[in-house]
Amino acid sequence: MTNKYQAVIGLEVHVELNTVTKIFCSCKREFAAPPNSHICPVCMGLPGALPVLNSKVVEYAVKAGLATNCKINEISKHDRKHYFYPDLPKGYQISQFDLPLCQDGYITIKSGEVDKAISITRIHIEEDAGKLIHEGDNTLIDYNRCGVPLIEIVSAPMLSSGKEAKEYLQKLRTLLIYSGVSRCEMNKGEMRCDVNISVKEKNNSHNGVRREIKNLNSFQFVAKAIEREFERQVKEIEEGKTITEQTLGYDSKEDRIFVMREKESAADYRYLREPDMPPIYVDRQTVEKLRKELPKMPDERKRIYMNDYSLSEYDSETLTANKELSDYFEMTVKHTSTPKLLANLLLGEYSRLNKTPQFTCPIPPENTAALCNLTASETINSSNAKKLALLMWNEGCEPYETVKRLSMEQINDKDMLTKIAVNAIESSPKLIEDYKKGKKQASKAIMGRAMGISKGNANPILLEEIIEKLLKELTT
Amino acid sequence: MKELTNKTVKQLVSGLEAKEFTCLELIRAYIDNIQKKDVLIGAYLEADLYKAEEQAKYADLQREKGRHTSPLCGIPFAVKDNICAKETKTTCASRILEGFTSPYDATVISNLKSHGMIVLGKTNMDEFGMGASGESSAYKITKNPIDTTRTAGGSSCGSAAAVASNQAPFALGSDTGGSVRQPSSFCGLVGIKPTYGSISRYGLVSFAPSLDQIGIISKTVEDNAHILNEAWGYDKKDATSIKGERPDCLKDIDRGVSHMTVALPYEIFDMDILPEIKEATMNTAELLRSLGCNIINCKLPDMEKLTACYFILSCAEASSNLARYDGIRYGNRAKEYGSIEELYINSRSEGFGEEVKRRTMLGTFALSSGYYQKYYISALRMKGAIENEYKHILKSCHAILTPTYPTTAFLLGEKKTALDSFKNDLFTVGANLSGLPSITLPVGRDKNSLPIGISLMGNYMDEPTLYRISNAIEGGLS
Repeated sequence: MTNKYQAVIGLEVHVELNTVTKIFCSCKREFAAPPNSHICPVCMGLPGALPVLNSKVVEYAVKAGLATNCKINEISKHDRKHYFYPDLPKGYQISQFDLPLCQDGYITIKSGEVDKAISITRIHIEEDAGKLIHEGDNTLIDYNRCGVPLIEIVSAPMLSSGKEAKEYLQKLRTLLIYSGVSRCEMNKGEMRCDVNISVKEKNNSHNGVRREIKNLNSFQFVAKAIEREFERQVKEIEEGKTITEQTLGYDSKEDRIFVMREKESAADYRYLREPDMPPIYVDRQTVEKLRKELPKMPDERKRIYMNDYSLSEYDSETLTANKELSDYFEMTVKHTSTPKLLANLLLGEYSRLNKTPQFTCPIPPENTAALCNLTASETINSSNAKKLALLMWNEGCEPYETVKRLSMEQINDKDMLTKIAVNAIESSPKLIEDYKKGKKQASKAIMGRAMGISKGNANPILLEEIIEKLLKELTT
Repeated sequence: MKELTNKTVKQLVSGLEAKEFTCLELIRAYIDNIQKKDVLIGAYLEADLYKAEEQAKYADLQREKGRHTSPLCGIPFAVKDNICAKETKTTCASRILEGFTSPYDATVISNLKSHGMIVLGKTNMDEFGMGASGESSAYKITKNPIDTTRTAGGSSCGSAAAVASNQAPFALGSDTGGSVRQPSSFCGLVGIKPTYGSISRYGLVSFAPSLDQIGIISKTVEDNAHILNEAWGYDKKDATSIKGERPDCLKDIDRGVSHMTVALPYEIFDMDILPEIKEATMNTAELLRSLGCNIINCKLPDMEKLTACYFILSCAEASSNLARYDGIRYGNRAKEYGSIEELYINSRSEGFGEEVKRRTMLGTFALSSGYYQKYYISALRMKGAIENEYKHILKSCHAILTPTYPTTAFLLGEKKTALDSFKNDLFTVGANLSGLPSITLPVGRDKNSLPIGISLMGNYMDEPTLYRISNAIEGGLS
C-alpha cells in the first residue's frame, strides 16, 4: 500500500558553533557549567545592553557555507524574530530573515547505489535561547545557553525516506566536523534536527500538507520518526481523511509520533531589521582566505584514496567519514608504500583499539607506517602484527626495537621451517595415527603445534605447505 | 556660596581650579538647591545625595594631591532615568521597571566618571521616552521652572528642568525624535542631539535604537561643546558607534561665521507656527547675516512624510524593544496569574502606561504579516531617502536653520492627541531619521516670557560647525 506514496522531506538542522565565546557578548560558551554562571547584561537582555557580533561566528558560518557549496552573500543582516517565552530574555531572538549569510548550496549523499545531490536552501546565524528546568511546581531558568552561536541549515524538500534523511545528516555532520566549525556532539545538543514531512502519491507533482516533527536529537530517531509519520499519513490518506498542519513530537521509547499542537495559523514573528547592529559584510578576499583554511573535504579525499591508493569505495568511504581517522591515514600513508595494508590496519585493529567517539591514536604515524612495512616485507606475520599493534597502542612500544627484543621476526627460511615441521610431527605420534586413519583436520593441530614451537614466528603459509607435504609423504 | 549653582560649567571649572570653593561645597550647594526646589519642580526621580557627597570628598582629595586627571573633576551632572548608572535605580519612569537597579554603568556614565565627574541623580521623563510633555511619567509631573503651570517639555523633562532650575550644571538626555531639543527649547537651554553613533548608546535603555541618541543639555553653547568632547568616543560595546577620531568641538568655537552659509527654509513662514517663533527665527537669520554669514533659502523634505516615517519606525522598534519587559527576570510582575500567558499579560498591562501601550500596539501592527511591507519596509526605505535629501541640502550650506518646535512651552494638562504631538515634531525628527547632528539654543521670549529656541542641523560629524554658529548667535544676542 505504501508503495503508492512518496514522502517529501526537508530538514532544518541547528548546529552549535565551536567558538570560545558567545555570539553577541564575551561570555564563555561552555556545556554543563553551573546554572547562570556564564551570563552578562548582554545575553540576559538587560535594559540598555547592546549586542556586538563575534566575528568568529561569521567566519565559522562562512566555512560551513563553503563546505556545503553555498553562495556566500557579501551583505547580509540580522533580524529580530519575536515571540514570548521565559527562556528568551529579550522577547526576540536575533536571527536572519530575508538575507541569510549563505544560500543555494548542496551536498551529495548516497541513495542506494547512486549519488544524489541535496540542495541546501540557506544557512543563517542566530543565537540560542536558555533552558527551562521543571522542578515540581516550580520552573527554574538557566540562561547559560542564551547567546550561544548557532547556524541553521535548511535543506530543500528533496529527501524521500528516513534512510536518506539519516544519510544526509551523517554527511552534513562529517562536512561540519571537517570544516572545524562544530564538534556536532548530539548528546550535548550541538546538533538538533527538525523534520518537515509531507506525503503525496508518486505521480502527483503537488506536495501534500506539511507537518513538522520537532527536536530530534539522534539520527536514528530522525529516521524512525520519519518512517512512523509516513505510515501515519498514508493511513490517514487511505482512510479518506484530510491531512492537517500539525507540529509533532517523537516518543523514542515507544517509537511513536505524538501531536504537540494543531496549527491554526502560521506564527507571526514580526521580523524587524536589527537596529543595534550594522549589516554583515563579507568580502571576496575574506571568503577566499577562509576557503584556503578549509582542509581537503571527504569527497575529494575519497576520490584520491580510490584513484591514487587503489582502495575500495567502501574503505575510502569509511575512512573519510571520520576526519581524525582520515587525517591519520594521510599522515601515515606518506611513510609507507602499502596503503591497502594501512587501511586494513586502521579500519580493523586500530578501530577496535580506539575507545573515543572520534579517533584518537596514541601511535606516531611513522611507527604505524613501520608496522605496515614490517608486515609488507614479511618481516613479521599477521598474528605478530596484531600483537605488535596492541603493544604499540597500549604501551607505546617502538616497532623495530620490539620486534628484535621479543624475537618476532618471521621465519621464512625453508630449512628452518622444515626442522620445525619435523619436530612437530615427531612429537605427535597420536595425531599422526589419526591423520593416517583419514582425520585430515589432524594436520591443523600439527600446524598449531609447529607454530608453538616457532614461538608464533613461522611464516604460516610456508609452514603449512611444508607440513602438508611431509604428511603426504608419510602416508604414501 | 549661594550663587554657585547659577554658574556655568566653565565658571565652575575655573572656580575649582582657582580653589575658590571645594567640590564638596559645590555638591552641597546643589544638594541644598535640590532639597529646596525639587518638591515644586519635580525634576528628579531619585537623587543619591549621600553618594554624591562621598564622591565630592574623594574629588577634593584628588585635587589636593594634584592627582586629578581632568579639569572636570568634581563637576556634578544629572542623568535621564533611561541611562544606566551602576547600583542606581533605572526605571525609565515606568512601573514595569519599578525597583530595577542596573548592575552596570552606561559607557557615557563611565566616561564622565573617569574624569571624576559626579552623578547627582536620575531625572524624570516621559515613560520610555514616549511623549513631549513629561506627563506620561508613571511617577511624577515635572514643571517648567520658568512657569510652573507649564510643561518642561519631553521626553527629557527632568534633565531640562534640573538645569533650568540650577539643580544641575548640565544634564544628559536622550533624543529619539526631539526629546533633548524640545525640552531644552522650552526651558531656555542649549541642547544637542549629536551625530548618530557619536556618544555610545551602551547603557541607554532603547526606545527606537536606529533613532536613539544620547544628548547634552547645558546653559551655554561652550559648556555643551566641552561635555560633548568628553562624552563622544568609539565604544566597542556599541556596534553602531563611530570608529576613529572624534572632531574637536571646542577648537573653532570662537571663529565667527563670516563667509559661512546657513540655509533658512522660507516655507516655514507659511506654516502653522507661533508668530513670535517665526519672528525669532527671522531675527536669528538677520543676526547671522550681520555677522557676515550668507543666508540662503532651501526646501525641506516633505514634512508629512517625515513625521509618518518617524511614527512607524519608532513605534515598530519600540514594540520590539519593550518585549523584554515580561515580568520574568526583573521589574514588575503581576501578583495574580494562572498561567505563563496571564503572567505576561497582567504584568505588562499593569506595568505600562497608556502612551506606551498605544505605541506598542501600533508598532506591533506595523510589523505584522500583511502590513509589514506596506508600513515598516516603506518607512525604512523612506528613512534612506530622507537622509539623502538632508545631505543634499547640506552640500550647499553649513547648517539648516529652523525653529525647534512650533510652540513654546504649553500648559500642563493641555489635552493633545497623539497625532498632534507627532505633527509638532516636524523640525526635530529629521535629524534622527538622517542621523545628522542638530542643536537648539534660546534666541528670545514670546509674549508670555517663555523661551523660544531655534535649531541648527549640520553635516555628519560636523558638530564643531554647529557649535561655532551657535556660539556666534549666543554672543550676538547677549
